[in-house]
Amino acid sequence: MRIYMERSGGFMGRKVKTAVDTSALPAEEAHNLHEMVDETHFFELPPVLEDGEGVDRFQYKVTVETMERRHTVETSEIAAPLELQMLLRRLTLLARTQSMRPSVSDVLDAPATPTTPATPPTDEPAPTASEDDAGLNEDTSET
Amino acid sequence: MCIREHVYQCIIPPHMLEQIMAQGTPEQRDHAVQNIVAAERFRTQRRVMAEFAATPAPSALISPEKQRIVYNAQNRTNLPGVPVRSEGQPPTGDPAVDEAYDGAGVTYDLFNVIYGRNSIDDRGMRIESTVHYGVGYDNAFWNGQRMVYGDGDEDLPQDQRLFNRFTIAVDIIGHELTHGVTQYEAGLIYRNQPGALNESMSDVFGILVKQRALGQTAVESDWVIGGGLFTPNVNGAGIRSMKAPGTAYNDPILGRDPQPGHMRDYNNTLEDNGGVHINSGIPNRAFYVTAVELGGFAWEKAGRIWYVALRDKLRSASNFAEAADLTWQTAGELYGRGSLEQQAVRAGWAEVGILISEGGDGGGNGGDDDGYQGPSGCLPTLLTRAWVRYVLGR
Repeated sequence: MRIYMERSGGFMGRKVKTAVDTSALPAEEAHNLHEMVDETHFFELPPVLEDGEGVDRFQYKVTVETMERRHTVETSEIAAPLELQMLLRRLTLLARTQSMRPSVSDVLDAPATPTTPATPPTDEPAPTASEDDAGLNEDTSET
Repeated sequence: MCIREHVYQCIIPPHMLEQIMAQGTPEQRDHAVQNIVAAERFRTQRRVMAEFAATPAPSALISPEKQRIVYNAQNRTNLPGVPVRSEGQPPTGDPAVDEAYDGAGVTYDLFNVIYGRNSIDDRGMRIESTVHYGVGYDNAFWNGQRMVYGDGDEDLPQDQRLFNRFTIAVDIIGHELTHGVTQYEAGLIYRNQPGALNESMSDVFGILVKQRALGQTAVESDWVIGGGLFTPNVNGAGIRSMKAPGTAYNDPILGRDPQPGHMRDYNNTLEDNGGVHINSGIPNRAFYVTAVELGGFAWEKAGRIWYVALRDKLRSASNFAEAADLTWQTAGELYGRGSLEQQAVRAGWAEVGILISEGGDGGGNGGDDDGYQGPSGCLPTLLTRAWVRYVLGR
Protein backbone atom coordinates (compact mmCIF):
# COMPACT_ATOMS: atom_id res chain seq x y z
CA MET A 1 0.00 0.00 0.00
CA ARG A 2 1.22 3.48 -0.87
CA ILE A 3 -0.05 6.55 0.89
CA TYR A 4 0.61 10.08 -0.29
CA MET A 5 -0.16 13.13 1.74
CA GLU A 6 0.06 16.82 1.02
CA ARG A 7 -0.57 19.37 3.74
CA SER A 8 -1.05 23.08 3.14
CA GLY A 9 -2.39 25.97 5.17
CA GLY A 10 -1.75 26.35 8.86
CA PHE A 11 -0.33 29.47 10.42
CA MET A 12 2.80 29.18 8.36
CA GLY A 13 1.05 28.22 5.14
CA ARG A 14 3.85 25.93 4.04
CA LYS A 15 3.38 22.86 1.92
CA VAL A 16 4.38 19.49 3.33
CA LYS A 17 4.46 16.36 1.17
CA THR A 18 5.17 12.80 2.07
CA ALA A 19 4.87 9.39 0.51
CA VAL A 20 4.80 6.12 2.40
CA ASP A 21 5.25 2.65 1.01
CA THR A 22 4.10 0.30 3.73
CA SER A 23 6.13 -2.55 2.34
CA ALA A 24 9.23 -0.56 3.22
CA LEU A 25 8.19 -0.12 6.84
CA PRO A 26 8.83 -2.44 9.76
CA ALA A 27 6.11 -5.08 9.85
CA GLU A 28 4.38 -3.82 12.97
CA GLU A 29 4.28 -0.26 11.75
CA ALA A 30 3.01 -1.34 8.35
CA HIS A 31 0.29 -3.37 10.01
CA ASN A 32 -0.74 -0.43 12.18
CA LEU A 33 -0.93 1.83 9.18
CA HIS A 34 -3.04 -0.66 7.23
CA GLU A 35 -5.39 -0.90 10.18
CA MET A 36 -5.67 2.87 10.48
CA VAL A 37 -6.51 3.14 6.79
CA ASP A 38 -9.13 0.39 7.15
CA GLU A 39 -10.72 2.16 10.09
CA THR A 40 -11.23 5.29 8.02
CA HIS A 41 -13.12 3.29 5.36
CA PHE A 42 -10.96 5.38 3.12
CA PHE A 43 -12.21 4.16 -0.24
CA GLU A 44 -15.79 5.00 0.74
CA LEU A 45 -15.00 8.55 1.84
CA PRO A 46 -16.18 11.33 -0.46
CA PRO A 47 -13.39 12.97 -2.45
CA VAL A 48 -13.89 16.27 -0.63
CA LEU A 49 -14.75 16.72 3.03
CA GLU A 50 -15.64 20.24 3.94
CA ASP A 51 -16.64 21.92 7.17
CA GLY A 52 -15.96 25.62 6.99
CA GLU A 53 -12.67 27.16 6.08
CA GLY A 54 -10.78 26.83 9.34
CA VAL A 55 -8.70 29.90 9.99
CA ASP A 56 -5.02 28.88 10.17
CA ARG A 57 -6.00 25.20 10.05
CA PHE A 58 -4.25 22.59 7.97
CA GLN A 59 -5.65 21.40 4.64
CA TYR A 60 -4.86 17.85 3.54
CA LYS A 61 -4.92 15.88 0.32
CA VAL A 62 -4.43 12.15 0.89
CA THR A 63 -4.15 9.40 -1.72
CA VAL A 64 -4.17 5.72 -0.88
CA GLU A 65 -3.12 3.27 -3.53
CA THR A 66 -3.27 -0.50 -3.46
CA MET A 67 -2.85 -3.07 -6.16
CA GLU A 68 -6.57 -2.87 -6.92
CA ARG A 69 -7.53 0.74 -6.52
CA ARG A 70 -6.55 4.33 -5.83
CA HIS A 71 -8.56 7.02 -4.10
CA THR A 72 -7.92 10.64 -3.08
CA VAL A 73 -9.58 12.60 -0.31
CA GLU A 74 -9.23 16.31 0.32
CA THR A 75 -10.11 17.56 3.77
CA SER A 76 -9.44 20.27 6.28
CA GLU A 77 -8.20 19.52 9.74
CA ILE A 78 -11.67 20.19 11.08
CA ALA A 79 -13.69 18.20 8.57
CA ALA A 80 -11.75 14.97 8.89
CA PRO A 81 -13.53 12.27 10.88
CA LEU A 82 -11.70 11.10 14.00
CA GLU A 83 -10.20 8.01 12.38
CA LEU A 84 -8.92 10.05 9.45
CA GLN A 85 -7.47 12.63 11.83
CA MET A 86 -5.50 9.86 13.51
CA LEU A 87 -4.19 8.68 10.16
CA LEU A 88 -3.22 12.23 9.21
CA ARG A 89 -1.36 12.70 12.47
CA ARG A 90 0.50 9.47 11.88
CA LEU A 91 1.41 10.49 8.35
CA THR A 92 2.57 13.89 9.56
CA LEU A 93 4.86 12.22 12.04
CA LEU A 94 6.19 9.95 9.34
CA ALA A 95 6.73 12.99 7.14
CA ARG A 96 9.10 14.35 9.70
CA THR A 97 11.10 11.20 10.20
CA GLN A 98 10.77 9.03 7.13
CA SER A 99 12.66 9.15 3.86
CA MET A 100 11.10 7.71 0.71
CA ARG A 101 11.73 6.53 -2.81
CA PRO A 102 10.83 7.28 -5.63
CA SER A 103 10.38 11.05 -5.83
CA VAL A 104 7.06 12.16 -4.49
CA SER A 105 5.97 14.21 -7.49
CA ASP A 106 6.56 11.33 -9.92
CA VAL A 107 4.32 9.02 -7.98
CA LEU A 108 1.63 11.61 -7.31
CA ASP A 109 1.32 12.38 -10.99
CA ALA A 110 1.09 8.75 -12.05
CA PRO A 111 -2.17 7.67 -13.75
CA ALA A 112 -4.70 5.86 -11.58
CA THR A 113 -3.94 2.28 -12.63
CA PRO A 114 -3.33 -0.79 -10.51
CA THR A 115 0.18 -0.69 -9.20
CA THR A 116 2.92 -3.27 -9.35
CA PRO A 117 4.30 -4.55 -6.06
CA ALA A 118 6.75 -2.07 -4.50
CA THR A 119 10.41 -2.73 -5.14
CA PRO A 120 12.46 -3.74 -2.13
CA PRO A 121 14.65 -1.01 -0.60
CA THR A 122 18.06 -0.57 -2.14
CA ASP A 123 21.30 0.49 -0.59
CA GLU A 124 21.48 3.83 -2.34
CA PRO A 125 20.74 6.90 -0.24
CA ALA A 126 17.13 7.99 -0.44
CA PRO A 127 16.07 11.58 -1.06
CA THR A 128 14.25 13.26 1.81
CA ALA A 129 10.62 13.15 0.90
CA SER A 130 9.15 15.08 3.76
CA GLU A 131 9.32 18.72 2.67
CA ASP A 132 8.58 20.61 -0.42
CA ASP A 133 11.55 22.70 -1.47
CA ALA A 134 10.40 25.80 -3.00
CA GLY A 135 7.18 24.90 -4.66
CA LEU A 136 6.34 28.56 -5.08
CA ASN A 137 4.22 28.01 -8.13
CA GLU A 138 3.95 24.27 -7.91
CA ASP A 139 0.33 23.39 -7.71
CA THR A 140 -0.52 19.74 -7.69
CA SER A 141 -4.21 20.39 -7.33
CA GLU A 142 -6.36 19.72 -10.32
CA THR A 143 -7.42 22.84 -12.13
CA MET B 1 -31.32 68.92 15.68
CA CYS B 2 -32.23 70.57 12.38
CA ILE B 3 -32.89 68.78 9.16
CA ARG B 4 -31.72 70.14 5.85
CA GLU B 5 -32.75 69.07 2.44
CA HIS B 6 -29.33 67.52 1.99
CA VAL B 7 -28.77 63.89 2.91
CA TYR B 8 -26.83 64.78 6.03
CA GLN B 9 -28.30 66.53 9.03
CA CYS B 10 -27.33 69.70 10.87
CA ILE B 11 -25.92 68.76 14.25
CA ILE B 12 -24.31 70.08 17.36
CA PRO B 13 -20.67 71.09 16.76
CA PRO B 14 -18.08 68.43 17.56
CA HIS B 15 -16.50 70.26 20.48
CA MET B 16 -19.86 70.56 22.16
CA LEU B 17 -20.58 66.88 21.66
CA GLU B 18 -17.23 66.16 23.22
CA GLN B 19 -18.17 68.14 26.31
CA ILE B 20 -21.51 66.40 26.59
CA MET B 21 -19.92 62.97 26.32
CA ALA B 22 -17.37 63.89 29.00
CA GLN B 23 -19.54 65.83 31.43
CA GLY B 24 -23.15 65.09 30.72
CA THR B 25 -25.66 62.96 32.55
CA PRO B 26 -26.48 59.56 31.11
CA GLU B 27 -29.58 61.04 29.49
CA GLN B 28 -27.62 63.88 27.95
CA ARG B 29 -25.00 61.47 26.67
CA ASP B 30 -27.81 59.36 25.30
CA HIS B 31 -29.10 62.27 23.27
CA ALA B 32 -25.63 63.10 22.05
CA VAL B 33 -25.15 59.54 20.90
CA GLN B 34 -28.44 59.51 19.06
CA ASN B 35 -27.41 62.73 17.39
CA ILE B 36 -24.18 61.15 16.29
CA VAL B 37 -25.84 57.96 15.12
CA ALA B 38 -28.27 59.98 13.04
CA ALA B 39 -25.39 61.76 11.39
CA GLU B 40 -23.06 58.79 11.40
CA ARG B 41 -21.61 59.52 8.03
CA PHE B 42 -20.20 62.83 9.21
CA ARG B 43 -16.54 62.08 9.52
CA THR B 44 -15.87 64.81 12.07
CA GLN B 45 -18.29 63.29 14.57
CA ARG B 46 -16.82 59.86 13.96
CA ARG B 47 -13.41 61.28 14.75
CA VAL B 48 -14.72 62.78 17.99
CA MET B 49 -16.20 59.47 19.02
CA ALA B 50 -13.01 57.60 18.19
CA GLU B 51 -10.89 60.05 20.10
CA PHE B 52 -13.26 60.02 23.03
CA ALA B 53 -13.27 56.25 23.08
CA ALA B 54 -9.48 56.23 23.20
CA THR B 55 -9.38 58.25 26.40
CA PRO B 56 -10.34 56.89 29.81
CA ALA B 57 -14.00 57.57 30.52
CA PRO B 58 -15.19 58.82 33.88
CA SER B 59 -18.33 56.79 33.80
CA ALA B 60 -18.38 53.29 35.18
CA LEU B 61 -20.48 52.39 32.17
CA ILE B 62 -17.42 52.75 29.99
CA SER B 63 -14.63 51.02 31.89
CA PRO B 64 -13.50 48.05 29.86
CA GLU B 65 -11.38 45.50 31.60
CA LYS B 66 -9.75 42.54 30.08
CA GLN B 67 -10.98 39.12 31.07
CA ARG B 68 -8.63 36.31 30.16
CA ILE B 69 -8.60 32.60 30.71
CA VAL B 70 -6.07 30.02 29.62
CA TYR B 71 -6.76 26.31 29.27
CA ASN B 72 -4.38 23.37 29.01
CA ALA B 73 -5.37 20.79 26.39
CA GLN B 74 -2.79 18.43 27.90
CA ASN B 75 -1.53 17.36 24.49
CA ARG B 76 -4.94 16.18 23.40
CA THR B 77 -7.14 17.80 20.79
CA ASN B 78 -10.29 18.19 22.85
CA LEU B 79 -11.23 21.81 23.46
CA PRO B 80 -11.14 23.86 25.54
CA GLY B 81 -9.11 21.72 27.92
CA VAL B 82 -8.54 22.24 31.63
CA PRO B 83 -8.69 25.82 32.93
CA VAL B 84 -5.32 26.72 34.42
CA ARG B 85 -5.13 30.50 34.69
CA SER B 86 -7.89 33.06 34.99
CA GLU B 87 -7.77 36.83 35.00
CA GLY B 88 -5.76 38.18 37.89
CA GLN B 89 -4.20 34.87 38.86
CA PRO B 90 -0.42 34.76 39.21
CA PRO B 91 1.96 33.17 36.69
CA THR B 92 1.84 29.39 36.67
CA GLY B 93 5.43 28.74 35.69
CA ASP B 94 4.29 26.99 32.51
CA PRO B 95 5.75 29.22 29.78
CA ALA B 96 3.01 28.42 27.27
CA VAL B 97 0.26 29.29 29.73
CA ASP B 98 1.92 32.48 30.91
CA GLU B 99 2.84 33.62 27.40
CA ALA B 100 -0.72 33.04 26.19
CA TYR B 101 -2.00 35.01 29.18
CA ASP B 102 0.45 37.91 28.81
CA GLY B 103 0.19 38.00 25.02
CA ALA B 104 -3.58 38.19 25.14
CA GLY B 105 -3.19 41.04 27.60
CA VAL B 106 -0.88 43.18 25.50
CA THR B 107 -3.01 42.49 22.43
CA TYR B 108 -6.13 43.56 24.31
CA ASP B 109 -4.25 46.67 25.43
CA LEU B 110 -3.25 47.65 21.90
CA PHE B 111 -6.83 47.48 20.72
CA ASN B 112 -8.26 49.10 23.86
CA VAL B 113 -5.74 51.83 24.67
CA ILE B 114 -4.91 52.85 21.12
CA TYR B 115 -8.13 52.13 19.25
CA GLY B 116 -10.72 52.15 22.00
CA ARG B 117 -11.84 48.61 21.34
CA ASN B 118 -13.10 46.52 24.23
CA SER B 119 -11.85 43.02 23.42
CA ILE B 120 -12.37 40.83 20.39
CA ASP B 121 -16.05 41.62 19.98
CA ASP B 122 -15.81 45.17 21.28
CA ARG B 123 -18.18 44.17 24.06
CA GLY B 124 -15.72 42.87 26.61
CA MET B 125 -15.70 39.27 25.42
CA ARG B 126 -13.56 37.01 27.58
CA ILE B 127 -10.35 36.15 25.78
CA GLU B 128 -9.87 32.40 25.81
CA SER B 129 -6.70 30.55 24.91
CA THR B 130 -5.80 26.88 24.88
CA VAL B 131 -2.18 25.74 24.99
CA HIS B 132 -0.46 22.35 24.65
CA TYR B 133 -2.85 21.37 21.88
CA GLY B 134 -2.05 18.02 20.34
CA VAL B 135 1.31 16.32 20.06
CA GLY B 136 3.90 17.67 17.69
CA TYR B 137 1.35 20.22 16.56
CA ASP B 138 3.32 22.87 14.72
CA ASN B 139 0.50 25.36 14.47
CA ALA B 140 -1.76 27.90 16.11
CA PHE B 141 -5.28 28.88 15.13
CA TRP B 142 -8.42 30.81 15.98
CA ASN B 143 -11.45 28.54 15.97
CA GLY B 144 -14.14 31.21 16.06
CA GLN B 145 -14.21 31.31 19.84
CA ARG B 146 -10.71 30.86 21.16
CA MET B 147 -7.05 30.86 20.29
CA VAL B 148 -5.34 27.50 20.25
CA TYR B 149 -1.59 26.89 20.33
CA GLY B 150 0.52 23.84 19.68
CA ASP B 151 3.91 23.08 21.19
CA GLY B 152 5.71 22.83 17.86
CA ASP B 153 7.53 19.54 17.37
CA GLU B 154 8.34 18.98 21.02
CA ASP B 155 8.14 15.23 20.56
CA LEU B 156 11.26 15.14 18.39
CA PRO B 157 14.84 15.01 19.67
CA GLN B 158 16.26 18.47 20.16
CA ASP B 159 18.59 18.19 17.19
CA GLN B 160 15.63 17.49 14.93
CA ARG B 161 13.23 20.09 16.27
CA LEU B 162 12.23 22.86 13.91
CA PHE B 163 9.52 24.65 15.88
CA ASN B 164 9.25 25.94 19.40
CA ARG B 165 5.92 26.42 21.13
CA PHE B 166 3.67 28.82 19.24
CA THR B 167 3.08 31.14 22.18
CA ILE B 168 6.74 32.08 22.13
CA ALA B 169 6.15 34.96 19.70
CA VAL B 170 3.76 37.65 20.91
CA ASP B 171 2.92 38.60 17.33
CA ILE B 172 1.53 35.10 16.79
CA ILE B 173 -0.80 35.66 19.72
CA GLY B 174 -1.76 39.06 18.31
CA HIS B 175 -2.27 37.45 14.91
CA GLU B 176 -4.72 34.89 16.26
CA LEU B 177 -6.66 37.34 18.40
CA THR B 178 -6.97 39.67 15.41
CA HIS B 179 -8.70 36.89 13.47
CA GLY B 180 -11.39 37.26 16.08
CA VAL B 181 -11.56 41.00 15.59
CA THR B 182 -11.84 40.54 11.83
CA GLN B 183 -14.59 37.98 12.35
CA TYR B 184 -16.60 40.58 14.28
CA GLU B 185 -15.84 43.41 11.88
CA ALA B 186 -15.28 43.06 8.15
CA GLY B 187 -15.72 39.29 8.27
CA LEU B 188 -13.27 38.83 5.41
CA ILE B 189 -13.99 35.51 3.72
CA TYR B 190 -11.10 33.12 4.25
CA ARG B 191 -10.35 32.45 0.63
CA ASN B 192 -8.36 34.07 -2.20
CA GLN B 193 -7.84 37.83 -1.89
CA PRO B 194 -10.31 38.49 0.92
CA GLY B 195 -8.65 35.63 2.80
CA ALA B 196 -5.20 37.04 2.16
CA LEU B 197 -6.45 40.38 3.48
CA ASN B 198 -7.78 38.56 6.53
CA GLU B 199 -4.35 37.02 7.04
CA SER B 200 -2.65 40.34 6.45
CA MET B 201 -4.80 42.11 9.02
CA SER B 202 -3.71 39.52 11.54
CA ASP B 203 -0.06 40.05 10.66
CA VAL B 204 -0.48 43.84 10.76
CA PHE B 205 -1.94 43.94 14.26
CA GLY B 206 0.26 41.09 15.37
CA ILE B 207 3.38 43.03 14.48
CA LEU B 208 1.96 46.18 16.05
CA VAL B 209 1.47 44.28 19.30
CA LYS B 210 5.11 43.26 19.17
CA GLN B 211 6.33 46.74 18.26
CA ARG B 212 4.34 48.34 21.05
CA ALA B 213 5.52 45.78 23.56
CA LEU B 214 9.11 46.54 22.58
CA GLY B 215 8.59 50.29 22.15
CA GLN B 216 9.84 50.07 18.58
CA THR B 217 9.24 52.60 15.85
CA ALA B 218 8.39 51.52 12.31
CA VAL B 219 12.01 51.99 11.33
CA GLU B 220 13.38 50.08 14.31
CA SER B 221 11.12 47.03 13.89
CA ASP B 222 12.33 43.95 12.02
CA TRP B 223 8.79 43.41 10.68
CA VAL B 224 9.20 39.65 11.05
CA ILE B 225 6.24 37.54 12.11
CA GLY B 226 7.07 34.56 14.29
CA GLY B 227 10.56 35.58 15.33
CA GLY B 228 11.81 33.04 17.85
CA LEU B 229 9.46 30.34 16.67
CA PHE B 230 12.14 28.45 14.79
CA THR B 231 14.76 26.47 16.64
CA PRO B 232 18.44 27.02 15.83
CA ASN B 233 18.15 24.07 13.45
CA VAL B 234 16.30 26.27 10.98
CA ASN B 235 17.83 28.81 8.64
CA GLY B 236 15.29 31.56 9.04
CA ALA B 237 14.40 34.66 11.01
CA GLY B 238 10.71 33.86 11.27
CA ILE B 239 7.58 32.80 9.43
CA ARG B 240 6.96 35.89 7.32
CA SER B 241 8.62 39.20 6.58
CA MET B 242 6.28 42.12 6.08
CA LYS B 243 9.19 44.27 5.01
CA ALA B 244 10.55 41.84 2.44
CA PRO B 245 8.08 39.07 1.67
CA GLY B 246 9.81 35.91 0.54
CA THR B 247 12.94 36.36 2.65
CA ALA B 248 11.86 35.17 6.10
CA TYR B 249 13.40 31.71 5.73
CA ASN B 250 15.31 29.56 3.30
CA ASP B 251 15.91 26.18 4.81
CA PRO B 252 16.83 22.75 3.40
CA ILE B 253 13.92 21.11 5.22
CA LEU B 254 11.29 23.86 5.41
CA GLY B 255 12.01 25.20 1.96
CA ARG B 256 11.94 28.84 0.97
CA ASP B 257 9.50 31.49 2.14
CA PRO B 258 6.94 31.49 -0.71
CA GLN B 259 5.45 34.94 -0.20
CA PRO B 260 5.23 37.47 -3.04
CA GLY B 261 5.67 41.16 -2.36
CA HIS B 262 4.07 42.48 -5.52
CA MET B 263 0.93 41.82 -7.54
CA ARG B 264 2.99 40.63 -10.49
CA ASP B 265 3.93 37.61 -8.37
CA TYR B 266 0.45 36.88 -7.07
CA ASN B 267 0.10 33.11 -6.68
CA ASN B 268 -3.14 31.71 -8.08
CA THR B 269 -2.81 28.46 -6.19
CA LEU B 270 -5.80 26.41 -5.09
CA GLU B 271 -3.99 25.23 -1.98
CA ASP B 272 -4.11 27.03 1.33
CA ASN B 273 -7.64 28.29 0.54
CA GLY B 274 -6.26 30.07 -2.48
CA GLY B 275 -2.93 31.01 -0.95
CA VAL B 276 -4.21 33.14 1.94
CA HIS B 277 -0.92 32.76 3.86
CA ILE B 278 1.08 33.28 0.69
CA ASN B 279 -0.49 36.28 -1.00
CA SER B 280 -0.86 38.11 2.31
CA GLY B 281 2.70 39.21 1.62
CA ILE B 282 1.37 41.81 -0.80
CA PRO B 283 -0.91 43.78 1.56
CA ASN B 284 1.66 43.18 4.32
CA ARG B 285 4.28 45.04 2.37
CA ALA B 286 1.80 47.78 1.51
CA PHE B 287 1.27 48.35 5.23
CA TYR B 288 4.99 48.25 5.94
CA VAL B 289 5.72 50.91 3.31
CA THR B 290 2.89 53.09 4.57
CA ALA B 291 4.13 52.81 8.14
CA VAL B 292 7.75 53.58 7.30
CA GLU B 293 6.70 56.52 5.11
CA LEU B 294 4.91 58.00 8.09
CA GLY B 295 7.61 57.15 10.61
CA GLY B 296 7.18 57.12 14.37
CA PHE B 297 5.19 54.36 15.98
CA ALA B 298 3.33 52.42 13.33
CA TRP B 299 0.28 51.77 15.50
CA GLU B 300 -0.49 55.47 15.82
CA LYS B 301 -1.30 56.42 12.25
CA ALA B 302 -0.85 53.53 9.82
CA GLY B 303 -2.37 51.15 12.35
CA ARG B 304 -5.24 53.49 13.04
CA ILE B 305 -6.03 53.79 9.34
CA TRP B 306 -5.97 50.04 8.91
CA TYR B 307 -8.06 49.49 12.04
CA VAL B 308 -10.76 51.97 11.08
CA ALA B 309 -10.87 50.53 7.56
CA LEU B 310 -11.24 47.02 9.00
CA ARG B 311 -13.91 48.12 11.40
CA ASP B 312 -15.93 50.44 9.20
CA LYS B 313 -15.24 49.98 5.53
CA LEU B 314 -13.93 46.63 4.42
CA ARG B 315 -16.53 44.09 3.38
CA SER B 316 -16.44 40.34 3.55
CA ALA B 317 -15.53 39.99 -0.13
CA SER B 318 -13.17 42.95 -0.38
CA ASN B 319 -10.18 42.34 -2.60
CA PHE B 320 -6.78 44.03 -2.59
CA ALA B 321 -7.86 46.87 -4.88
CA GLU B 322 -10.84 47.66 -2.67
CA ALA B 323 -8.69 47.51 0.43
CA ALA B 324 -6.33 50.00 -1.16
CA ASP B 325 -9.15 52.38 -2.00
CA LEU B 326 -10.80 52.00 1.38
CA THR B 327 -7.62 52.52 3.41
CA TRP B 328 -6.85 55.54 1.24
CA GLN B 329 -10.34 56.94 1.87
CA THR B 330 -10.03 56.24 5.57
CA ALA B 331 -6.75 58.11 5.69
CA GLY B 332 -8.44 61.05 4.01
CA GLU B 333 -11.27 61.02 6.51
CA LEU B 334 -9.00 60.72 9.52
CA TYR B 335 -6.23 63.08 8.46
CA GLY B 336 -7.58 65.11 5.58
CA ARG B 337 -7.70 64.85 1.83
CA GLY B 338 -4.26 65.17 0.35
CA SER B 339 -2.66 64.73 3.77
CA LEU B 340 0.74 63.13 4.21
CA GLU B 341 -1.02 60.17 5.75
CA GLN B 342 -3.21 59.70 2.72
CA GLN B 343 -0.22 60.04 0.43
CA ALA B 344 1.64 57.42 2.43
CA VAL B 345 -1.21 54.96 1.97
CA ARG B 346 -1.18 55.61 -1.76
CA ALA B 347 2.58 55.04 -1.82
CA GLY B 348 2.26 51.82 0.16
CA TRP B 349 -0.17 50.23 -2.26
CA ALA B 350 1.65 51.59 -5.30
CA GLU B 351 4.76 49.85 -4.05
CA VAL B 352 3.01 46.49 -4.44
CA GLY B 353 1.49 47.32 -7.80
CA ILE B 354 -1.95 48.54 -6.78
CA LEU B 355 -3.12 52.00 -7.76
CA ILE B 356 -5.78 53.90 -5.89
CA SER B 357 -8.88 54.55 -7.99
CA GLU B 358 -9.35 58.10 -6.83
CA GLY B 359 -12.89 59.29 -6.41
CA GLY B 360 -14.22 55.79 -5.91
CA ASP B 361 -15.46 55.19 -2.41
CA GLY B 362 -17.24 51.88 -2.83
CA GLY B 363 -20.45 53.84 -3.25
CA GLY B 364 -19.58 55.54 -6.49
CA ASN B 365 -19.46 59.06 -5.03
CA GLY B 366 -16.63 61.49 -4.99
CA GLY B 367 -15.79 63.86 -2.18
CA ASP B 368 -17.84 66.97 -1.69
CA ASP B 369 -16.92 70.39 -0.36
CA ASP B 370 -16.34 69.34 3.21
CA GLY B 371 -14.88 65.95 2.37
CA TYR B 372 -18.02 63.94 2.83
CA GLN B 373 -17.42 60.80 0.90
CA GLY B 374 -20.95 59.68 0.26
CA PRO B 375 -22.74 56.56 1.40
CA SER B 376 -20.37 53.87 2.42
CA GLY B 377 -22.48 51.47 4.36
CA CYS B 378 -20.23 51.97 7.40
CA LEU B 379 -21.19 50.93 10.86
CA PRO B 380 -21.18 53.47 13.67
CA THR B 381 -17.97 53.96 15.61
CA LEU B 382 -17.19 51.46 18.30
CA LEU B 383 -18.38 53.60 21.11
CA THR B 384 -21.51 54.64 19.29
CA ARG B 385 -22.36 50.99 18.71
CA ALA B 386 -21.76 50.18 22.33
CA TRP B 387 -24.01 53.03 23.35
CA VAL B 388 -26.69 52.11 20.85
CA ARG B 389 -26.70 48.55 22.11
CA TYR B 390 -26.88 49.79 25.67
CA VAL B 391 -29.60 52.34 24.90
CA LEU B 392 -31.66 49.92 22.86
CA GLY B 393 -31.10 47.15 25.36
CA ARG B 394 -29.45 44.74 22.87
